[in-house]
Amino acid sequence: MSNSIGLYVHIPFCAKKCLYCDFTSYAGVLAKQYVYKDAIIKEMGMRANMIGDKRISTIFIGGGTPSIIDTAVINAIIDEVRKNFHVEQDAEVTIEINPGTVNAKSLTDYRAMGINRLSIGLQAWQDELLKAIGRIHTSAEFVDSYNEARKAGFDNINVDLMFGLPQQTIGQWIHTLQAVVSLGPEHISCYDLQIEEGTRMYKMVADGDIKPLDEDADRLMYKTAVELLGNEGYERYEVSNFAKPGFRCRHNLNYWYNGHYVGLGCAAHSYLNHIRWANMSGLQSYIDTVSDDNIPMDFEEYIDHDTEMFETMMLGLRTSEGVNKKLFEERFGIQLYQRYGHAIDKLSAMGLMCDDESAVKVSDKGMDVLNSVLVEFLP
Amino acid sequence: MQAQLLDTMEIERERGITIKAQAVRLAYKAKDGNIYQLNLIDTPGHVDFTYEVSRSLAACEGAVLVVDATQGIEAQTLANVYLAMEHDLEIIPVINKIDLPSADPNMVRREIEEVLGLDAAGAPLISAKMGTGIEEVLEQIVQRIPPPAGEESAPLKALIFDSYYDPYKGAVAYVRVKDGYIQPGMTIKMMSSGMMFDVTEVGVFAPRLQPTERLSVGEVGYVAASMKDVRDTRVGDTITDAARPADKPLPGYKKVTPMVYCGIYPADGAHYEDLRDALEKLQLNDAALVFEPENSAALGFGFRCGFLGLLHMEIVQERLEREYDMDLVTTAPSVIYRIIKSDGSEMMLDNPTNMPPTTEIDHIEEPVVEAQIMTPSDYVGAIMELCQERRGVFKDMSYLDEKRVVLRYELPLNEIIFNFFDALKSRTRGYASLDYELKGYKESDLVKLDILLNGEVVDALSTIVHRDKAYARGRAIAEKLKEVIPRQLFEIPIQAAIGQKIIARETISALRKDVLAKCYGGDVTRKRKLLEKQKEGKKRMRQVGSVELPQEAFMAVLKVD
Repeated sequence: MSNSIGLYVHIPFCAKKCLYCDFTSYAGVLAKQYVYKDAIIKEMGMRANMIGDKRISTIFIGGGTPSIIDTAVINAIIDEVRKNFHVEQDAEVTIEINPGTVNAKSLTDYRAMGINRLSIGLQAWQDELLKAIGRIHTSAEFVDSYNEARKAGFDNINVDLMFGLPQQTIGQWIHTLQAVVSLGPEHISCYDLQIEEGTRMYKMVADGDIKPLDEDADRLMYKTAVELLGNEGYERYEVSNFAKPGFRCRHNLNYWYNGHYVGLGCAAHSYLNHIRWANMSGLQSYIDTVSDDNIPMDFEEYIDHDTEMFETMMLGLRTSEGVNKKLFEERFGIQLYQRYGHAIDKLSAMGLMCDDESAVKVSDKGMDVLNSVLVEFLP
Repeated sequence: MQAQLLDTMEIERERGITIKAQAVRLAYKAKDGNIYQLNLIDTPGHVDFTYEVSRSLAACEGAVLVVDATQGIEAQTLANVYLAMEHDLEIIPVINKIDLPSADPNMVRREIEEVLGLDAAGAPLISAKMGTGIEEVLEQIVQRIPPPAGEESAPLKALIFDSYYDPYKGAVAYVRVKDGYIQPGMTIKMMSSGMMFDVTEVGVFAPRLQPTERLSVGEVGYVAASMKDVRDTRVGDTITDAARPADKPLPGYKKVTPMVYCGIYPADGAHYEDLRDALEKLQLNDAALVFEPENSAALGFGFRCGFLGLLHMEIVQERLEREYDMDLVTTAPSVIYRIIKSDGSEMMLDNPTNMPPTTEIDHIEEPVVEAQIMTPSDYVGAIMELCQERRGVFKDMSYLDEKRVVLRYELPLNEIIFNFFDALKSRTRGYASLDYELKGYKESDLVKLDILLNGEVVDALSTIVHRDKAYARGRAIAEKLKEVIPRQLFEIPIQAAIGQKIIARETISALRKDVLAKCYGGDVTRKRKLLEKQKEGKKRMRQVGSVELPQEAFMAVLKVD
């Protein structure tokens, strides 16, 4: 394993919570951003021992909506990271932004702090769909923000899209893809809407106010995205992620390689030295706990050898490269096929996997039912 | 005192029914100033448990017939009264539940007189729940029921009317002492097997087991003698004194024979031995349950179990699941068919899977019952329609009074086990009641209906049906299976077939989407747990060929209309 890690910083503030949102984010508490910043910086100190001399090769500032808080807060956090840890020279530093929450000034600030990648949440091109899922921006605002970002010098931009939205038509989806492609971002994520328990959308479905999109339309949208984006030079390198050559998201690739990372802030997850842990998700309890010099732990678990092997498969098989046989053997001291041959043979016979010289991968057909494929690898 | 004291099983208390007869002893100071010792046995009423009733009646001098003041006489009431009459018992009718608003004691009194021919003029009106009228019942018992006959000095004769398994005492026999006495230290002999045991404890039901010094003539109580095996305390056997044996046993019981069979399998094949242990233990308390090992291609190793009827079957399954914590897969019930082969030989078939090829069969006979259905006259039409659909042959109809009718039908038992009771209840808003008695076997045009999944016959899903019904049944089963089998990674054709001929087909389309779009910002644990849960769900399925079947699929055969 390389000696570098990814660093995630969670910014749990939003102007308004989207109807489908299952992440830890809070609307209307922006005033807490400064004490939150202090807590993050304090947590960094608590984690310093564990991180030690590991180099940081990617930083991802995610949310929530990191772009609605004071750029000085972001700046202070990044400064502190650089002060405490060894951030690699060519580190990928990403911030998530929402259309309408950035301007020339803030984007220039981001550049100045060394942020070199933007991830913009567009989701859909049609304003009526945006409204229906609880977004507070329009596609025109997206275009403005996108153009401003280019002007500010960002040359690595991701656009987040969603498909499988209630009422969404295949025509709308194709239009969304084409409109985005014409702007030429380096990276596009296409997430299939998942209606999670506890979200407002879940309740709307339960109450019969909205109807989830049917599966056939949903799969057609996915296939269309894979084909359309493929033709435009965006390779699908993970279930939901597409990039032009050379622009794959390194921060996320590290997750899929089952690499190590540390997450700071409430609800952030970490994986280091065979331990996975999660921070407590409540904003105030996170702040209070850290202020009291306590570790803001929600849970931690030890990952044994077998579980690590499984997780390596679970994550690696999400990627188009699959799980590299040589790397697997180096990491675990056992041949991949020796450990998982039974599952691989069974799934290959069903056309769900393929197995070449260097790696085992999931076929296109297998990607649609990845969970069922992965279950076969569980110990 | 606790309510429903004698219905000790959770199932009994929940369903408000009695499955297992329970004995209790009571000292009662009567109005005449004497103290009487009353030995009472509370018995079930349902047709499936007629054997429990008849066993208990053989141990008694009289019977209290409890009729529900809101329901009046039901089919099972008739059946149980006839049993008591066969045993020549003094019958005391009692009208219960008079506290309920819909109670109509006068109507019920008239019914008892007109339908059963019993004198109900003095029948106590009671509410067991409120305690109303109980003393009157006890007084009538004292006055009308004869004291036990028998000689204390004669050689011991004790009738085993039930048994119970206690992990510490071993098999415990419930007995009625007809002659002589029994006490700890005595060596007893089972008259049917000749096996001998040393009595370790005797006692009475108070209603919990309460040890006493001895059980004398006329008394009802229990005997423990370190008996390990249920067969040592065979119900109906006579216990005698090994040192001074009686010359003749008491008349025993008619051996009960199962009417309905089904396969019971552990959901997890590794629990086969646990299932055997559980069945053996249940059998200690339930002599009517029979089982033997069987092997299914679809379900692995399990047991073919015989029951007195559907309720009995349901209760055994439920007890295995609750009291023994077993996770079970059960197959659809079957009756016992008689197959006359072309070479003249005969076989009894309790598992459709074992049906010989049609070329070897001359003809098949199926068990038929005579069913008595008691109903308010408004529903006669609905019931006749139902019986017609179920291949019933009308026998006769008689009016009990202006509003109540008894219909008599000859019906194949095969049709009764197939949802008949539910259908009857739903078509008569729960008012009709059913009782039946096996009449014998009748030739019938029966075929084996096979179900194929992904082109392979699933043995545990085969059923035997009448040819005229095979098409409809095949279609219904295929549809039902389509409903209960979750979609899998490939398309699954479901076919119903008679021999080589496919008579119905459905297709379960392949699973199209089963993938998490997002990886939750490094929350790998959550994703892994989701997959682990998915795997748990899969584990509860049975792998049949390449298809995974949920447990309810095996009952789907029964659950179609």
